[in-house]
Amino acid sequence: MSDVATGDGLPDRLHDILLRMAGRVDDDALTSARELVAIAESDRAVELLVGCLIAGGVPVTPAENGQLRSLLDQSRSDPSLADRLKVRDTWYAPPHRFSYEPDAGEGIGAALAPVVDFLIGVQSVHAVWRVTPAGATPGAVPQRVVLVEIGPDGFAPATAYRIGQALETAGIRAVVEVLKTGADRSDYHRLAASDAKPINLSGQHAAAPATSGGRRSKNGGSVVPIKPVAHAQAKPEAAAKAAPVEPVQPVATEKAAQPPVLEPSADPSALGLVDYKPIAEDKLSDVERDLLRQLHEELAQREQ
Amino acid sequence: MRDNAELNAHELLLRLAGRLSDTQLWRFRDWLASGALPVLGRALPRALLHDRIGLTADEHSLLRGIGADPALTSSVLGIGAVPEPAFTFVAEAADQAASGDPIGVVLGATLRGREGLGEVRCAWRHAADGRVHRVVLVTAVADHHRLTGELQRMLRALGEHEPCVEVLAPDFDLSPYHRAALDVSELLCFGAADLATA
Repeated sequence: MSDVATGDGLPDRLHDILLRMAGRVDDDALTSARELVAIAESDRAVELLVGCLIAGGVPVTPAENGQLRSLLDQSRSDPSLADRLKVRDTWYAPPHRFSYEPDAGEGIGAALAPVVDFLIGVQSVHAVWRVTPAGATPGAVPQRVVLVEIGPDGFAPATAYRIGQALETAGIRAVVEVLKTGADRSDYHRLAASDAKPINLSGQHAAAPATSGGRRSKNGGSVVPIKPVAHAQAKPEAAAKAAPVEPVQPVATEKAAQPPVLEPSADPSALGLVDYKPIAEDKLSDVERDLLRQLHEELAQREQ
Repeated sequence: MRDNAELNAHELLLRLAGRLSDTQLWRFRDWLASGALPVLGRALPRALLHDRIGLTADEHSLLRGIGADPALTSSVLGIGAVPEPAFTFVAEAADQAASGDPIGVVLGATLRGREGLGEVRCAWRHAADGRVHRVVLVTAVADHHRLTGELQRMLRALGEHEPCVEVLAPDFDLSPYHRAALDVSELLCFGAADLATA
């Protein structure tokens, strides 16, 4: 397994090791640990992860063992807990399998509409089903996996937390994997990305990979450009006040979360976004930025 | 309190049903079932401190009896009596009359006639926020924590993300939570042991 890089602070290093554990511990543990990291309770996040690894007898490499010991120490937990981990140089684990069908992207674009303005540095969102169980106490399969790519200005733990919350609010159960642009991918994330399809964060989901207006990701998956969020990070409160976004109402089941379905050929051009690409924010005036944002919100509302 | 950390931990985690969040409770019970008691001894008192959950004097003894750090356990709030459950319980889920209970069928088929088990029962817990949760109640003579772990894993694989499994010893002094659940529960099956429900 290749290294998954890289952050310097404790939350970033925790996020990185949680990425490495994707598919090796259960999704609920990952989601809970990421939430703890995001709300600045790193000590509890490390203990949750270590507890799951010990209880599940999940093997870790000597390097991972060292990282976990260091994280326990730095979060003022008990480093000796790492002595109880099962350390192996190599082991066999059958690879996870993924599938986009049935429509893993259903409802995700609409679910993320209320939070997208508050997410910094998000470059793409993809969705896929994992059809194999994860960890020693797996939940039911298939399990929806949402892959988020963020740029260098993004905050991975916060992004995972906010997107996870938004999906949960919309009644969508998913595990959210936030990956940094340019960082090496684990085998798990490469396999997931190879079957995932992009979500258009204008409130739609793409049933097929985008054919225009997009760019190719490092892993070969198509990436639909989403609206720039730099203006939102500059003054999110003011933006929210000017044009409040209707919260997505929780729904009882995923089946009930029926998003507008695009035609198979639909891509950003079908939404009138042919030429829409991330625009250098410094070339826009405040008025233009507001108009751009309102345009996207109107599009999103129309499609709900 | 017994001179056995696992028994103490199981009893304490039973008594925390309905008081500690389901998310944490099933996880801690899984750790106990899987031999991760040292992590539990650290994480449980921290969870109680974080969520401001108080313990009775007997429960404090149980917490110390699992090897938890005395510096942490000393800070856990004390209460005079176990609080009444903040839930109501009913025998059947709302949609059960029409659709049946496939998970209950699996539980019954798996546990029927099993050695060491008494009754296997099921109740449905209603929270003030409208959420409804299955509560499985089992009487057993031994290996309570491991049976809890096994049933939790089964329920999770069947789609219950935060399973509520209460494996009770015949002499367990029922908490208000368990009494309320048992009072309305429906029988799923009998094990091989002839145990009267407490």
